[in-house]
Amino acid sequence: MFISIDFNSETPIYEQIKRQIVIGIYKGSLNEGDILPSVRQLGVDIGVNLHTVNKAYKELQAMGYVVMDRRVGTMINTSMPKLNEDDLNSFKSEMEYLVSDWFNRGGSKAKLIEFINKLEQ
Amino acid sequence: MTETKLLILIYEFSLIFMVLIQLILPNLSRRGLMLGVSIPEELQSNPEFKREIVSYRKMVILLGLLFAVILFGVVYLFPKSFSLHTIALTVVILLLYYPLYHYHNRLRNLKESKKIVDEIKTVTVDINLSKNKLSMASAGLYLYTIPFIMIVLGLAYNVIEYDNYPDMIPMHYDSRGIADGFSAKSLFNVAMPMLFMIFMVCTMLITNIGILMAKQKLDSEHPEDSLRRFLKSRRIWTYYFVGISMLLIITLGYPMIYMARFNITEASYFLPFTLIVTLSIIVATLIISFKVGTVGERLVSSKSRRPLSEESDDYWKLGGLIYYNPNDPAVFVAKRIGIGFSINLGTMAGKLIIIFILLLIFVPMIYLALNS
Repeated sequence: MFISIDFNSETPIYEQIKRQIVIGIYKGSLNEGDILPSVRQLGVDIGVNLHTVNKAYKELQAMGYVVMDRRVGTMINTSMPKLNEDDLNSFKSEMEYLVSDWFNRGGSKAKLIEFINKLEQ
Repeated sequence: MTETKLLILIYEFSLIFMVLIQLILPNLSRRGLMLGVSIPEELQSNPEFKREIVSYRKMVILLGLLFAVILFGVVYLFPKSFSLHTIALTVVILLLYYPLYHYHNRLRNLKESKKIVDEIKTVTVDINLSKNKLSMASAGLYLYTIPFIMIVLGLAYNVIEYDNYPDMIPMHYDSRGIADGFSAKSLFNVAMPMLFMIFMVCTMLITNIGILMAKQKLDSEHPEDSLRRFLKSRRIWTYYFVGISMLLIITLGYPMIYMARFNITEASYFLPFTLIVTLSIIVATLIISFKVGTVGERLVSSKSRRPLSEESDDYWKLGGLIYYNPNDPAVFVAKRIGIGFSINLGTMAGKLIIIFILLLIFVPMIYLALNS
């Protein structure tokens, strides 16, 4: 699986790493039980401080997506985290922002639904 | 051929070779780079930029001619001062990098004056490769067992045949192939050729490992293709290092055993033979460099090559030759200039490696100079 980091983006690098891993899990590029590169290995290849990668992994662990084990390394959880009350609330506010921005700029509902359908496949 | 004439010949040919390398450097660049400066494709065809490359080549040729005369003078006037020759050669090699330093900076200033909007800085990384850089299957490192077995066989021979070795073993030969240095037989002296080979093969292995651990460099637009080429080039360079190891054992290590064991004190063919082997290694290196490149970029035709992700120009110091980025954990990165890999001097590991290499080169040199 490929991870692409845009150094010019406004999104912080750890956030980009985190997001692409979540998307990778959904799309099947990463499976439950897969071991991610160590913080050093990924840091070397992207060219960023180990703390940056560590932060991404820590946040993924907090979300329930990975387990950081001293011996094995960072592993994709064998069971996916479930949605809870807080998750739903933060999803709603994030969606509210994205969808409002989309409609403000003239995006159509149809296109939005098409996008979701494509993702579902 | 006299010692002096041979020396002049070797030095001048080495100089010609180095000048040629400096001249073809612009052609060896990855896409998106000009003399180590990251420059967008559209600008590279700009006449102002092309002119800098022409001027660079002119300066290389002029310096080459100047140094050819200087080297000739030094050897002609001081034929026996080998330390002077070494100093002169070292100075010449270092100064031959001046055109690169000068025109790299000119190109950087030119690029800045054009006020280019920050180029796309996307880095693409394969997760699987990140985990498995040294994995035996993908890299081919297991092949090093072959040269090590060859060395063990040589050592076995040393031990088994120890009693049949002459009491005074020829250890050094002059340029005519006549033995001029002998040592009393001892297990260490008898095993010397293979011990030397252990050192050589270890050097190859460590360099190889460094290369395999280097930071990935992929094309963000076509990651699968560039990954395939990247993996292929790693395998090919591993075969290269293993091949060189085996070649050195067969053409240097084993003959040294033979010549010691059978007390060969005249081997006029050995010097030309060694030169042929050296030339073969140089030729093989050039061929692979041109056909494969550093990260496999040359495995496709010139037309299909694309710019790869690059670190910021600011971290490439001293004419684009030295990478210094303390924020980058990578110890080995692909060179910007020429083919191969460079050390990140911003890391502690990088600093230690350079210091170690410099000590390895200069301590014996200074020791020998002081004792002669």
